[in-house]
Amino acid sequence: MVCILLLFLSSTFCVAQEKKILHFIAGNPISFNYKHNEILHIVAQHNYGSTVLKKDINNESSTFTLPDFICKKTGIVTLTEVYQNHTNTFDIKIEAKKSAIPKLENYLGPKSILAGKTDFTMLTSMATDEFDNLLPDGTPITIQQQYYNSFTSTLHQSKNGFVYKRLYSKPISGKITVNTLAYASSSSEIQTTIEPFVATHFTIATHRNHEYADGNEIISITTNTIKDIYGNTVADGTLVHFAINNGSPNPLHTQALTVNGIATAMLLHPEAACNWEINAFITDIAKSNTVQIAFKEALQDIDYSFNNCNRTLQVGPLKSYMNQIIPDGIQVVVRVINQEKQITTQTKTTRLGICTFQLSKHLYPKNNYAFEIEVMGKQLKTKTINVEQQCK
Amino acid sequence: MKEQTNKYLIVALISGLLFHGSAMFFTLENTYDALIHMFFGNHYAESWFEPWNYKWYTGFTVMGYPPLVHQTIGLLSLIGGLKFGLFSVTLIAITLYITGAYRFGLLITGNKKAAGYAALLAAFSSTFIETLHLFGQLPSIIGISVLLHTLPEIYLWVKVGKYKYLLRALSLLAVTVTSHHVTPIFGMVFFILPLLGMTVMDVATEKVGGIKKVRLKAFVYAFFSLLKRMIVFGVGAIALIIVCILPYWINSKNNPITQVPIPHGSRDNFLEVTSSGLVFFVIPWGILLLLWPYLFYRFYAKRYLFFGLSFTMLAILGTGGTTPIPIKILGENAFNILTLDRFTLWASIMSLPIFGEFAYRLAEGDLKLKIQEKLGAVYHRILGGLLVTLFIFMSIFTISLGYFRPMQPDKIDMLPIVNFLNQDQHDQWRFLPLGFGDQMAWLSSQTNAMTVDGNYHSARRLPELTTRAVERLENSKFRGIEGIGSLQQFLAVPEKYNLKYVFSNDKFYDPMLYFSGWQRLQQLENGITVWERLNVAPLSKIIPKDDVAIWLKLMWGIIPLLTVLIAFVVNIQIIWYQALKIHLPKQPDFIKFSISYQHFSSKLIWINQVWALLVMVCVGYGIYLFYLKNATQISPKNVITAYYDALDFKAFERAHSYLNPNEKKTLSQFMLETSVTDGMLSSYAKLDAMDITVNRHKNEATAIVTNTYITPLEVYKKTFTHTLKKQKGKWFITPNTLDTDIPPDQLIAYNTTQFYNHGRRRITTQQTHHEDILKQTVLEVLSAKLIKKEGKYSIIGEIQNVDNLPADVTVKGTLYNKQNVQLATYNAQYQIKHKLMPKEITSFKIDFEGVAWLKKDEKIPETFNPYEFTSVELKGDPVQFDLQCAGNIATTDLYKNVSINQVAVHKSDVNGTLFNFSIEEVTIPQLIISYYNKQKELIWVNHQFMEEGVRIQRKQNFSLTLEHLDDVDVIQTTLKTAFVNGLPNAEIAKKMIPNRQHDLNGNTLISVDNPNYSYIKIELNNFIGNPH
Repeated sequence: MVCILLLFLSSTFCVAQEKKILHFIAGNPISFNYKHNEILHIVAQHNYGSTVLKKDINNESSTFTLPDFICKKTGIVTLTEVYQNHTNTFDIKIEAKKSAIPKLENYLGPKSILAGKTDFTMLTSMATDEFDNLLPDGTPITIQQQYYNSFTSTLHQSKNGFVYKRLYSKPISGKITVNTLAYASSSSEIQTTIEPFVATHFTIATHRNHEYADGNEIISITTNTIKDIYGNTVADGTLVHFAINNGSPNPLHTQALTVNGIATAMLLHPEAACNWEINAFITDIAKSNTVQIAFKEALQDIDYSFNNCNRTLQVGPLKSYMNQIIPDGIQVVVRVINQEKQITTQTKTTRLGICTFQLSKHLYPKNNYAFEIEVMGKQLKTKTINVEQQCK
Repeated sequence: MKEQTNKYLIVALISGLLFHGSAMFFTLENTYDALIHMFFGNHYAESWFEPWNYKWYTGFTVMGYPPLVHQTIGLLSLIGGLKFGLFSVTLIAITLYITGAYRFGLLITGNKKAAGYAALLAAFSSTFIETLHLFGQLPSIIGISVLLHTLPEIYLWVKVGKYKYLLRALSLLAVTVTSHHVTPIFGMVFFILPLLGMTVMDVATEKVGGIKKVRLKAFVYAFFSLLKRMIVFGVGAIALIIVCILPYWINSKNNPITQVPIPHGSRDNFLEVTSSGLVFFVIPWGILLLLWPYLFYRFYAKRYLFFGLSFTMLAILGTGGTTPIPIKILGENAFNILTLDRFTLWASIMSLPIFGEFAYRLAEGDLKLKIQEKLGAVYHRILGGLLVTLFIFMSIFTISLGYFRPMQPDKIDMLPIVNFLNQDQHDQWRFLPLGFGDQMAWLSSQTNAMTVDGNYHSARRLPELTTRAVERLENSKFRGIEGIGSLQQFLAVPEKYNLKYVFSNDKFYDPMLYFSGWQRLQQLENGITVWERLNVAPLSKIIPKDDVAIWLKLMWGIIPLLTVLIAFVVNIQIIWYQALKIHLPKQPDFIKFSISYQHFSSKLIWINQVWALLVMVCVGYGIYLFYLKNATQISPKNVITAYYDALDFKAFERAHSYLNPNEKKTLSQFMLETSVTDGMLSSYAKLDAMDITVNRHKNEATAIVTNTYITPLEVYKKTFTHTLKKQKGKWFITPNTLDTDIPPDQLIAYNTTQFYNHGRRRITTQQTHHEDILKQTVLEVLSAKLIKKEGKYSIIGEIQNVDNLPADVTVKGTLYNKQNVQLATYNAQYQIKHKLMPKEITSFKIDFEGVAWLKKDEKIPETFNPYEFTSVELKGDPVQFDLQCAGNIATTDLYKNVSINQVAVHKSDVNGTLFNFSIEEVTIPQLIISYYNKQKELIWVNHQFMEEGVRIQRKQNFSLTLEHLDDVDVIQTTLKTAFVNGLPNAEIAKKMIPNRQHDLNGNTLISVDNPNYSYIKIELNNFIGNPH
């Protein structure tokens, strides 16, 4: 298949033609045949380093063969003939094989860019022969692009072995698919994603089942579909903060991730009546409108009673806005006061609207005590009562 | 007379091999050392002549341990695998040990029957069972066994002077040397020197015609007559010790052990640490403890005088830290390096001949007659039966100790891990096993992947390890601050060690891994969780090693097995004759010195009986104390201690039994209540200390309990109040009422975005397939400052994920002095959210941690303190810094759905409520608290882990105390030296968010009243222990 190229060189020829460069095609075997036997060996300097060529003697002639791996690589090879008393140097050039079906190697990066007009990704393409040698400059390479229904194609000529093109972003998020063509070859496709640009201002809305501050209902705060300036929905998982001003200097705070541009955060209803001023934002980028909502008081009255010779204080039954028993788990704080001094604080949670506090004998000896009860933002102080040591 | 085969020896050999040979399959792999020896064996099987092993630490040399046993395992493994090698060598060790005990017995007593008894007792002695089946010290066993074989030959050489004995003695000694280095050195002192003394005594006896006539003059005369032979042997022995393992000595000289000693139970005070006393004193001595008077009486007979001295010395050294004598004899240095249990082992082995002699005399000799005559035949039988029962009990107790109190985690099926490491080039990085016990050595034997850890602590090289008494990182939770501290450094800066994978067999470490920026990759079929750290570069192709000269490698590879070969050839004759009885060998000389066992001293019988009774009373008292300590309900304090102890060990049924039965809280209700609470305290804590104050009123009491818990992250103190009641003489705890809070909704639906990364779409082994590489996520540093607080330097700042994908964030800070010389570098560890959603922001702080206690004079604190922080020692004042941040796409641990439902600030106390509104239970919430000045500029960042988790749709209260921040100096504020994914931060800022509006950060700052700062911000970082 490959014809063997034999060069018959005489030493005089080489000296005379020192400056002339011989051209070869990569992949073809290269050997030098001399009709004399005066050269000791030939040193070849090539891209991979230096190699000493072995001499094959046949009758009076000698042959030097370049190893296969050198023959396959394009570039200049400098050969030095070493004689007994002197040397002689000449160059040969190995060039890529112009095949009809070159291989195409493409690199595209970054793999995602922001929507708009300024961001870009870059395609680099190179055509090579079967031994991975770059085809010579001037090789025509076509770059094709697809973005939704638009197809573009541009012809480039390789320079320094490759062509490159900046692919600018588009306003609508999606994918740009590219491939390249050279002679009869075409490459596989590569894609880059156009991702939405930063968010713009958005609105929020709240949803709750009732307006009472019962501490046991969920209020959800939802954004509208958050979009960028080009109308693209922001990336899934974008973090939205929600800040809630409830009248105190310490704002409440929650956050949620967007799904299809909508973020939904939830909070528990407060336990005491208050007004909420809610706004949301994406840090340093976008903000929402402010929404104000009010919570009404849920608890009606604080009932309490003393039993067991005043050694048991029962708070409740506590009733909610419809006169129903308040949900389980509402915190009741009781401060025990003796002679205007608070001596202990007990905290318990309700069950079926009732919370019972035991006053043990060795913690609370016989004395007069008053109790301050605090439930769901409401406070109440009982009258001073006498706690007995023994129940009569 | 035809030479009779010793029946006792045959019985000992057969039953010993059967017993140990069957038991070893169930015990050996759970021992401390066996798997390590197998790992070394694997090393030799893979590269016989190359002493450098890359697999452990960051490479170490196997020249740190004599190679014979390991090489034999390696050689045999070529036939039937590593375990075949290990078990075959064990069988050889058992045979050598039993025959060695027989020959040693014969040498000492000169009585074949007594020697036979010695062999039989040796085969089942608790000391041997412990060394083999509990510790797995194969080289040590083979070393001492071959030494026992050597002793008769040494005796014969010195006494008779024939060169064949010298040759045999030296050839066997060479085998001892190459199998264990410590045995021949101490063996020279404790076995061979007294043996020489006995030989001299025997020669003197022959000269003067009777042991009783030997006086100092005769002894000295005999000594000088034998001096030449002794010197010849001594010089030969020392030459062998030096030459046979010359590479070992050279290596020890080049790499001296400069490590902090690792605590060992054998150095404890056995009366204080009774578990050490049991393992290192009671078990190895076993029944011998009852016979001490007889042993000492016999060893101080004139002939054995030198053995007596040696025996006494060994017995004293074996007491460890119980008496101050061992530390005085050995000196502090040697005391802290040696494991003292080996002295007890040698003492018990030395006493075997005398023990055999005693057994013989009791079973069929003069002692039997004496007891029968004085105390009756029945008494003799009862006494004999009692001793035999005790002996059998000790043996069974010892061999089953590992079964009842496992010293290792359950056996781990290594195949899934090995497959994982082989897959997808996971072995291009180092890995770290956690909670594997000594099985990590077995894992290392099976894979080519390397670990930063290791299981041969003398070979540790990294200062992070050698400066601490940490045996292995793998079990660092048992080593308190030092262990956790070491581990933390590896987890914080894993790229330094190319550490990418952690195999966790203990969920204790999970929070530490998560908050250091690691993520769960998958759970393997064997239940091991694989953790991964992003942004770690693979190992380079060429890893440095300490090379040694070729002649040393050749010596190391050839000499050990050559010694065995030579010993075999030299000794084959004697083995051949003994086995086949084709030739009547000459009776060895020491047979002449056997004594006829007559007239057992009655006094001795009484003394020994009284002694044995005394020992039994002591043991009985110990058991009684044990009972008292465990009588759980005799006082309020005891019952509370027992209750929390039971809770700590998750023994809920036991804990429930301490609750007042009148309160009618059923076990199932109690179980439900305790099992629903998750969090750092209930899932990752170990109770460390209890402080109980009891206020007692007759049959009622209140108790305030302050418990100290150790967790992988922090130490917690928590106070509980209990009321107690006494009923029928027992104290009970009144159960606490439960929080009655119920969540609003029964069924919850919530939409989330989930992510998945294929990794490699095309099935290919190509290292990095261009099309499958994900781009790095883009981050933007919003502020960065170098600050100095209380003399420590930190870098603080804020960083935002400005990309459209979730990011895993690594922030590395480096400090420089005026001359741009690098001073220190470290990563942000706990004070950062490592996972950021698109547009999410986190504050971060980088502390510069150094290696603790690098200096010798620094004192290591005795108690565990996870807050302990050793700031790095800087050579100069840092004036500038840089930040290298890397973002990689994260797909897990992205749960953000916890809100701050309520906050109240009172002076420096902040109280609030968290509310978890979505569908994952947060096991450990972390609060990252940022402090801002009046201009809303960041000045300090700190964090707090919450002790309890936040369940779904439930509230959780938190409280934190703000810092004063009196002395925070800002040294430099700049963004110029901040880089993201290798690019300058400013460029990214321009491109990703061109119009950053700094006022759009809502009103999340909480204003506080403090002269040093005006606002704080609380950010949440949620660790999910059991993701759906």
